[in-house]
Amino acid sequence: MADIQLLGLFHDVEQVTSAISQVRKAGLKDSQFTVLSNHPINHEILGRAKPATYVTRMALIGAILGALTAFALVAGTGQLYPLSQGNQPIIPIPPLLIVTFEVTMLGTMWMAFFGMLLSNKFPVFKKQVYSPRITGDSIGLLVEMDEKLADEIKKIFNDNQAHEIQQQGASQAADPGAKRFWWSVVAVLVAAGGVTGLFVYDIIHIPFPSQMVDQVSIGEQQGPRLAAPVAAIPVQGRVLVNGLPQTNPVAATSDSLQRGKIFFSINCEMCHGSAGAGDGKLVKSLDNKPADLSSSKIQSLADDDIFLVINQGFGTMPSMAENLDSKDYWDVINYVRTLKK
Amino acid sequence: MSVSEYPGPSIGQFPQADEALAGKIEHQRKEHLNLDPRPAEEMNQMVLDPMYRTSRLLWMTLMLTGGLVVAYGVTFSAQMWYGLGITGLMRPVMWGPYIVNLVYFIGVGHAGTFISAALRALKFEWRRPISRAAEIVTVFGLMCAAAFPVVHLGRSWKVYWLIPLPNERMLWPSFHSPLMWDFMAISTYLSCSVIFVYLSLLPDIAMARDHSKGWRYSFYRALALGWRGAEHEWHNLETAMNVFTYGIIPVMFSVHTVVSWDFAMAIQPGWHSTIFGPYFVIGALFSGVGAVMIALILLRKLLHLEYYLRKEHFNGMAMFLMILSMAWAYFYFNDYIVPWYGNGPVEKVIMTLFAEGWAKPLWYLMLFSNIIVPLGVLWNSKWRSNLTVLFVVSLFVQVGMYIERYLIVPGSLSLNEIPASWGIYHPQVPESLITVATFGLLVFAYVIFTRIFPMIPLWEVREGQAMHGLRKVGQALIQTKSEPD
Amino acid sequence: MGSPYKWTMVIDMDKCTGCGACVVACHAENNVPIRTELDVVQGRGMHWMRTENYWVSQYPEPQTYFLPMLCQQCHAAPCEPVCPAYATLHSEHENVNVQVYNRCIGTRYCQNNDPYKVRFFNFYDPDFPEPMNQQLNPDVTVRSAGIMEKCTFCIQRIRRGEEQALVEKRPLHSSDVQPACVQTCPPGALTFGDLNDPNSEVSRLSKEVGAFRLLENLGTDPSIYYLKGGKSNVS
Repeated sequence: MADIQLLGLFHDVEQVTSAISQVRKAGLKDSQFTVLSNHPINHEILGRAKPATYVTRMALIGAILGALTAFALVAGTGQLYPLSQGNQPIIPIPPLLIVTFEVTMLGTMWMAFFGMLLSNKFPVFKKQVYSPRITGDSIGLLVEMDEKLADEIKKIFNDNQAHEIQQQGASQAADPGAKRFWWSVVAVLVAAGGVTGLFVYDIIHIPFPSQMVDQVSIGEQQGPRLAAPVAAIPVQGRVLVNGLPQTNPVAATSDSLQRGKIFFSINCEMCHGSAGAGDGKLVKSLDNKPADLSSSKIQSLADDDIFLVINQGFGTMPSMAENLDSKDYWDVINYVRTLKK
Repeated sequence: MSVSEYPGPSIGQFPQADEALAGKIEHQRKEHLNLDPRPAEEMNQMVLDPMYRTSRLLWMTLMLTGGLVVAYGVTFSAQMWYGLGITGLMRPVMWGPYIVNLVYFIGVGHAGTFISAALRALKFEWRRPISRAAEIVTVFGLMCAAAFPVVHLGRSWKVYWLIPLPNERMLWPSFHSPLMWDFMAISTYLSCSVIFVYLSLLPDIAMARDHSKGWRYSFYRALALGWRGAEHEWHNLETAMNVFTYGIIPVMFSVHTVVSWDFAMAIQPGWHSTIFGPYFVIGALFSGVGAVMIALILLRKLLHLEYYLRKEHFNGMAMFLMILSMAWAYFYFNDYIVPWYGNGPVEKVIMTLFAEGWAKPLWYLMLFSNIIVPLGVLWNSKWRSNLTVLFVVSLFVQVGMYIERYLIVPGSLSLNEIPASWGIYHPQVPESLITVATFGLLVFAYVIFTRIFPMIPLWEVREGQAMHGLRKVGQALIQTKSEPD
Repeated sequence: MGSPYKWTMVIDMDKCTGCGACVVACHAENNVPIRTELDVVQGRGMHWMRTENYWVSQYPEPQTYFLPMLCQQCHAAPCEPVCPAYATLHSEHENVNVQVYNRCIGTRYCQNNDPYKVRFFNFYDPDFPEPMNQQLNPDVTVRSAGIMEKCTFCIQRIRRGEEQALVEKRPLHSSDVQPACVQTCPPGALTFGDLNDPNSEVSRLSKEVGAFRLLENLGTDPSIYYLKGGKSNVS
């Protein structure tokens, strides 16, 4: 015959204990019945053996795991990337003791909780025999036994003034809902670990604005070519005064062009070549080749820019300020304009 | 007699009963919760009703504290955007109200653990109805405190670097630093307190599940994990709670000790004192018991828990508060006399600051609030039974303990060995607003919690009521407690 | 420690005139943000090198001495172990107290534990209005808000010196490296070098009669020696 469950609700612990002794006399083992109550009733009151628990054993395992984690954190990470701080040893003992204490207690308590869940088989998803009156005014005695004993047990219940009796089929052995729950917990933890790993290993990179990778400072020779501010440094030449139009004050007369050609042949030709093509005699001993003055790149520059290049130099090109007067630059510029292809 | 419908001590249990005896029994029942069981459903409803009741005061409180929480978020965002320059922090006072709040709110959380764990281990029966309300102060106080290590950082968005996880840069946090010990200790304490509350809540969530409908029913059913109150379920729960009780007490002591070591490990004069460990723990318990007292007085009035929270509970806590006041005075005196006697130059300057400088009114207010008020009021049993008096005393204790932390952090920091680097800290709007808003956050979370979960651990009260009885010895009726091993 | 060097600075307080050139040089070399006067009065000034004036007597016989104060580069630095992010450490190779800017999360514990109060916190993002940004030293990171900074003994110059020595296949001499402040000091009050080198100037000066170190009783083992004779420099 099949097993069934019988739940009897009583108002009094004396009634329950009397029913228990009678149920035992009917031949049922202690493992076949349990008491449901709204506050803990000591096993001695009920006359039963002390229930076994593995919560304390789990707590001990948690303690060991916690201690090992603490060691790994302090001693382990210290060794992984040893950095000297304040003349303290790489593995400092007093901090090690502190962290070991804390994490050991953490492990102990978390595992005790986990052990409680496991030993109670929480969370329960399967249907269970229960009555809401348990958390009210009743104590329940739940018996599971063979169907043929049903009448005998019901009589015991009634003899002890049970005010309600429920009958249900046998309890389910397995709880598929619980299995699904725990697997989903594992899945969530693994997913969380995975997502954390994605961020922690910069696979997903969050470009914080304060990474200081983009610096405000300017590297060597990376800055813009600027004119000096007004009256900052005394220079000759109108073109270097801010705010004034960038026009060449010297007209490109034949006089100017002739002067420009002479200055060019003395100062510029050796590098830039006689036609300004960047093929002067010194070119073969230079790593950075002189610019081709006839190219559109140079010709499209304003007079102002060419003035600056002659005055300050550009890259490897030295400044011509010692060689030429600034008013002579305009003649050179006018001549350079004629070199255009 | 039924345990659940246990009518408690009655005239029927005594032979030769008379009017006087009936009166005495009545008196004992009124005084002691453990002698005054009521019908089970009545007790259930007294705990469940407040969760459903709403009032104008509730909505106003929620709106006000909710607004403060929003202000917190806005201020913190502004601080991250503009930089810490909007606060009043400067050289040399690099730690200000944020750290004061950190210490204060962790301190506030200590009493909850003491009441629910230490008093449980010591078998103090009057802790039964108050343990959950106290423990919730701990949990939310700790959560509020845990925000401050993030808020006070210069680059708060990089706080995750302190989590010891393997990472791309192959760098780990430094366990040489007391701040990392803080991190470990507070994480342990917070997570274990939350689990401890949950363990104690489990049977009461089952009760709420059995008496509710709709979303509440689904919510409680999920959280109750299928609890039925079976014998082995109770045993496992109690074993786990024992592990937590004996485990969380040393953690509680260690947490505030580790927090005090943030200061004691520094060589800053005024901080570098070996007594900081126990001094801070006692200070934490002191301010915590005061905070729990405030919470319980308000709960009793607003949730109509007069049946559960009686004079005996407040009396017990008030005496505890008085003892803590004496303990605090003892430790403070220790911390004072040693540098006073030693005449160290910077310590002398700091003490002069407290006795005569800008800190003078604060220092005297602190001594008044922490020593004179509690000791002067709580010795008297009549005053101890007046809840308004207790409320006011507890407020004074909060003020005094806050000032104590304020004098330690920005107070001592303003002076050091190099006089050219002295400076006075002036609180500005952002940190003051965040301080007030944190109190708002605590109240907000607490009020929401009272709407969702029962605030009295009914099963513990019932356990207590089942254990206690009355016995006639001579002409007196003595409360007895029977406890199977 | 493993480092061949023991970089030390000797500051002659009798030569120091309090001119402040070292302060400016340090600002220029290390991209130190320049704060307003109000900020400085409020305690937010950022001067990795500063001169502290100590008045011995006032008018009509004013006597003062100037104490140039910078990071003492302690060998047992109290600021180092309290950093939870390993942002301040003792560099094994250069044997100085380094501050790793991109690791700093701004707990400011190092400043609380620093008895000399030579660490500075960026309360705001630094503002270098045009064309000040062109003056910035590209060898030194410009720090953002929320980061601690302090004197590094111009470690960028030490590194350059080492690289130069490596290229030229010779050992680095004590006199090859000079921090900006030492280079600039007009009266020559600052001397920098390697204490491990018995022939260096600092080795000689640190053994002088008037040599002392600041707050030695705290056990910090600082790398800066101060020289002071009987007189102060304004008499």
